Amino acid sequence: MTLTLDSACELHPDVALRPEPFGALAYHYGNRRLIFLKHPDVVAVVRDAANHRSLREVLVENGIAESRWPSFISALTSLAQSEVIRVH
Amino acid sequence: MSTSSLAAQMKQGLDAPICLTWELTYACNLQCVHCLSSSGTRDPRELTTEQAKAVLDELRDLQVFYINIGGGEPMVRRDFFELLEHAEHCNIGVKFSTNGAFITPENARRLAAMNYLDIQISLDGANRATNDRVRGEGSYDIALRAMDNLRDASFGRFKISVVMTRENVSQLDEFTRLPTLTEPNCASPDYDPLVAAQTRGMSSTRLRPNSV
Repeated sequence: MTLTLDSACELHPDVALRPEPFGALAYHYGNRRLIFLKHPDVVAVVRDAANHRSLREVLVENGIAESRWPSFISALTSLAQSEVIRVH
Repeated sequence: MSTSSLAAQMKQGLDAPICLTWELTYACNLQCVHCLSSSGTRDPRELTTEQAKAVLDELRDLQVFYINIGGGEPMVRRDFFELLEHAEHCNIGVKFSTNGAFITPENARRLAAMNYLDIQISLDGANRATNDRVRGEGSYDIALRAMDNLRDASFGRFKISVVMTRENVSQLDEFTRLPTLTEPNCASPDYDPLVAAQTRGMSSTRLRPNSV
């Protein structure tokens, strides 16, 4: 699954997100996987994703510079593959 | 994207543990010769129900993701299901080890109805003779009955936990042919080598490099 700027996402309902100095730890109660979110900006975007109709909107609202969008889409795609977030 | 490496930040540690391993009781209905905690009798200082629930509340506040419950035989505690339900209420996942003696058909159905629960049943031999020499007479039948009850309750996947010794290391294929292990979405084996356990005089069963 590859996400685009037009994808609408949300935190997976089976996932708990715990703040850590480096970002956050995500634990998936369904598949029992533990995932490191290694940047606070990624954590902010993941937490806020459900409030917006597209990832583009989430990135704009969270003040992420356009030059960083490709790396965010790639990081979020990998989080979707791990079922930390899902398309809604 | 990050200014300092994750490895460098990890030196500061996490804000809280990822999981907690908890020997809920030292009371046990079995007397396995290799028991790591020399379990058998209840420790009089064992936590009360309210104290155990307070620990779970604290783990919830720390956002600890799950607990590994062992013992002793944790299902010996009369408040076992009450504590499981409290953990579930606190969004704390539970993995627990048991010899299966208390997994009756009714308890299997209660376990199957819960979320975030992983069970491993201890079995140290793929046949009655090998297992019961280590875990005590009747313990093989107890474990297999528990596995049947979990299957009949549609619990889903669970594990059997095997402490590998010189006595059972040649039986690994036989374990996978146990009735509930041949069924899809039922059980799978998980092997732990017996390396340095405090034993009740069974050091002769410890694996040696030439045992396998």
